[in-house]
Amino acid sequence: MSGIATSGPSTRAARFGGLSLGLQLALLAGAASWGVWQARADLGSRALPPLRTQPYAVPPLYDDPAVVADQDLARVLPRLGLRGKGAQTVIGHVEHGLRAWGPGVQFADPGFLSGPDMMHVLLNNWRFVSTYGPSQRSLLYAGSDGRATGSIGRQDEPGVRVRVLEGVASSPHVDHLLATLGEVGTTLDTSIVAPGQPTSLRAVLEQSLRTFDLNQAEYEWSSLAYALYLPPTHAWRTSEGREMTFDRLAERLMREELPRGVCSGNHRLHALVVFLRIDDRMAKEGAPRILSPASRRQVISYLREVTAMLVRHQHPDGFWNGDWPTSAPAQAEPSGRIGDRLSDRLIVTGHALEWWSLAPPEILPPRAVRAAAGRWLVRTIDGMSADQIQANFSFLSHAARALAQWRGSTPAEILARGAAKG
Amino acid sequence: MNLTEEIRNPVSDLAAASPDDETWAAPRWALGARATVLWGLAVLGFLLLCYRPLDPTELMAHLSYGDWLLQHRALPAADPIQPLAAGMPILDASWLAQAVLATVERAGDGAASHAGAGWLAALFALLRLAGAALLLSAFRRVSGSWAWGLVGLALVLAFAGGAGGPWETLGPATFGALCMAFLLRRIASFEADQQGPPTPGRGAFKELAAAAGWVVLFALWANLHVSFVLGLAVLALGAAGKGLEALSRRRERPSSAWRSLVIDRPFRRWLLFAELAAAATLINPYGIELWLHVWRLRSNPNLAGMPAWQPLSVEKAGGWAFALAIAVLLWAFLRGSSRRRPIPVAQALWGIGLGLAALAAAGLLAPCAPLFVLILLPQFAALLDDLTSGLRAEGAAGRFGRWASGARERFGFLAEPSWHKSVLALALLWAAFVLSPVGASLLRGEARPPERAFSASAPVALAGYLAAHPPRGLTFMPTVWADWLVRQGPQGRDRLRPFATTEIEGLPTEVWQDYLRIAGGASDWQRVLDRYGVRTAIFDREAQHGQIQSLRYAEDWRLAYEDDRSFVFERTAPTSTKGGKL
Repeated sequence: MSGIATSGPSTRAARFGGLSLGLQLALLAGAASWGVWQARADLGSRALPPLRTQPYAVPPLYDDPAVVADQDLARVLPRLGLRGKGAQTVIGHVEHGLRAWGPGVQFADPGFLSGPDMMHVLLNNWRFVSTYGPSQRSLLYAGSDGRATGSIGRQDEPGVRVRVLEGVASSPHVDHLLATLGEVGTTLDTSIVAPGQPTSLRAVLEQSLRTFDLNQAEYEWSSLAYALYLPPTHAWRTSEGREMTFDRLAERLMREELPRGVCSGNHRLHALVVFLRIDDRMAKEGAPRILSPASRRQVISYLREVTAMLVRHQHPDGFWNGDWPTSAPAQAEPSGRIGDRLSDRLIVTGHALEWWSLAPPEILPPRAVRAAAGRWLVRTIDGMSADQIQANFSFLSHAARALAQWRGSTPAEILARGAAKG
Repeated sequence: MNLTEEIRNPVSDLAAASPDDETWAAPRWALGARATVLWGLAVLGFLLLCYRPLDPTELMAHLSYGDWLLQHRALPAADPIQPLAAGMPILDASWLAQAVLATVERAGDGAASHAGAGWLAALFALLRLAGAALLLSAFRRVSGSWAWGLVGLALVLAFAGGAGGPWETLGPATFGALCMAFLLRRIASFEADQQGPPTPGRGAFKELAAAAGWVVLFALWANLHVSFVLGLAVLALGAAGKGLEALSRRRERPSSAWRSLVIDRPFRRWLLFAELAAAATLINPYGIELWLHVWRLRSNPNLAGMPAWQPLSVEKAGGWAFALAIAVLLWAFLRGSSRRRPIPVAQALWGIGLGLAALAAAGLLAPCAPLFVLILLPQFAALLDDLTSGLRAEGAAGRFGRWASGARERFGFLAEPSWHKSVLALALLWAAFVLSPVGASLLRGEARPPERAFSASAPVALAGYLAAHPPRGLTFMPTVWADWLVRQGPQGRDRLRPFATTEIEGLPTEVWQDYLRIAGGASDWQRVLDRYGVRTAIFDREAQHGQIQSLRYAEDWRLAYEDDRSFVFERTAPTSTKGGKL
């Protein structure tokens, strides 16, 4: 063999062979690099979409005194503040209070939680601990859910999650806090203090986007928050690689039978109305719409059908109960049956009036229908004691918002106007 | 006959060459007795397989995708069957096989109404016979006898038994199995060429033709089925084995490691073929994304719970065969034998690499089985030869040998190649065509009804009901029925919208988990049905008794249909409040 190594032609052949082999190995390395690059590009397509720091506002569209008169509003609203109860304060109530009154509200009654108080309880763990005690598990917590975000085994980057459905000191629904903050105009750079991790609201939204699944049990508030913070982005990829669009979210919001869903399905309807409004705004700003024409038509048709159901099944006194898609309440007085309690009537009537106040005209019911609903809410609140109001605070917060929005305003503005008048 | 003799006379059994080859009347195409008998057996096997009912599971899903491909003349950008997979990335790795299957079915249906299933059965028979013939030839090459070749085929079926796979059902995996058989046949020839003396006249053209063969094989394979990666692994491990062998020879011929590799022709050839094959697999509509798709399959959470992706268990027939083969192999090694041939490094790497893969995922046993047999067969042959040498010495073989030679003397004239046998073979071919479902549809316009063309697992009556009463909205049904019902149920605008089919790798993980909750009767299965807005629910009478009893008495569901296998429930309008919490 040594002869092969030293003879001229064999040496040339060996050199050629070596060159050829080296070239092949280089090609193999190139192919491997191509594969890795492609895999990284795929992971890159699953990166989080660009987010708006300032959420879109969805202001009310109408000012109709037939729904609620100025004097009724001035009388009813000041009673609907949230009273602080220390460690017994329900976080769900705080979130609803913030949503109804906004982060800047100040009440004459010092027993009511002010806007800054509510923001601090929700977004600052130090304040949370001082309210609920150190043994209470924090509302905000850091960390990933360990879900792989790509085939190469990359794990989630740490985000901030909100504790849900774990008692009074936790949020009542998935992404409810996020949507609430969005609806009251909280910017994503707002500082939050999670245990051991001062960060910003952006970390909460990013974590929500990482873990969102179209078929999760509660999706209404996630959809709402995305509509407020994502556009003009109208399509993005989930960590599983699924393309997500507002069309797809709208389809999901319309998928289940009514009245299934939280609050007898009304949050699904609310989110759809917000989609339409943001879609309109995109068109006005010359940005791409978030809904396709077909999807938009489908949403409008669906909401008109829902409105027709509500019109058909309104009680002569102006309210609805949990059976609203199929039948009108049988009697004026509430019964103890689930779906027909006073709280159920407040839920459906307050929510319906609330999302109608934001809805385009083609979706609205006849004026008499919404006026009857407004009058019923005012009468009912007038008849409730302060304790009853606190017990039903979350439901009534929607009523407060609905009544104020039907006057083209917000509860905080009306409260401030009343205070200015003395 | 030893291996070298086989190589020198590769077609000696099929057609005996004679000096009169050049004349038209010479028996160049005259068949011998053995070839005629083999041909007859093949025809018989073809007819038996043709009339074996097809398993509709998965086949129907592939036909649906194939129909879509033919109709749109494009690859799907989204799952065309499963609405809940909307938005999920899709890569139709088996598009070519699906298109072929759909084309064959359409051709059959064009020949006679509902004859497509028969044509598919004929395709299945042809694919299986072609695969078996290639494997038989490869096994004969490595073992040195037809008998051992047949034993090898039996071993392949034993390995694949219980693991399902391409030998049981028609689908893209069947095409993949055929490609694997081609690969092993080429490897067997390739190895024989390397071991034998240089073939006169084998020049650059033949080398080029061989390389082109690899390219064509792998380009087709990559578009037919994802099992092409197994083929690539075989070639890559083969090249690695040859490289290790080259390096090990440095003891005999001192040189640098690099030089040892460079001057080693077998290594360079294997490496080149592996590279050509790898490059050929990139000739597909997705390019290198296909490789990434296969890479991702191993971590797809939906597949993790499937039996094919579970570790190999001895509870399955294939697991038993695998364990037994390993035990026999070990025994052979420990016992030692003068006839035992050393296992080449490449084969050892195949055995270890793909053996471990099959142990980790039982579904790999079936496609890898032919390779394992290729490795084991020479060892088994040597072991049996060793064991029976004593018997032969005692005369048992001698008595058999005397009987065999006597028979050859008396009936030898039957074994001579003749035109009569060729005519008989042609007659058998014609009979195969006439008696096959293809011939029946073309010549007599006949077709077998679905109840006979497909196995009993097909919910034929249920499909008939659904075709007459198309369900509204999303429909839940067992995935093993979904493929069938989507194709045989209502069509057009009323086409079924299944919760899930057997094509689960493209479903979002949560959807598949929710499917399992409903199908398995988890405590919240009715809430999951509500969450998806399922309007029609179909349950298996045997497997889902609890769900059936629950919906029988649910106020918002009504029983629409039942037969001896299935129940169909339809959702009524909601009548009461189920939500309401704030």
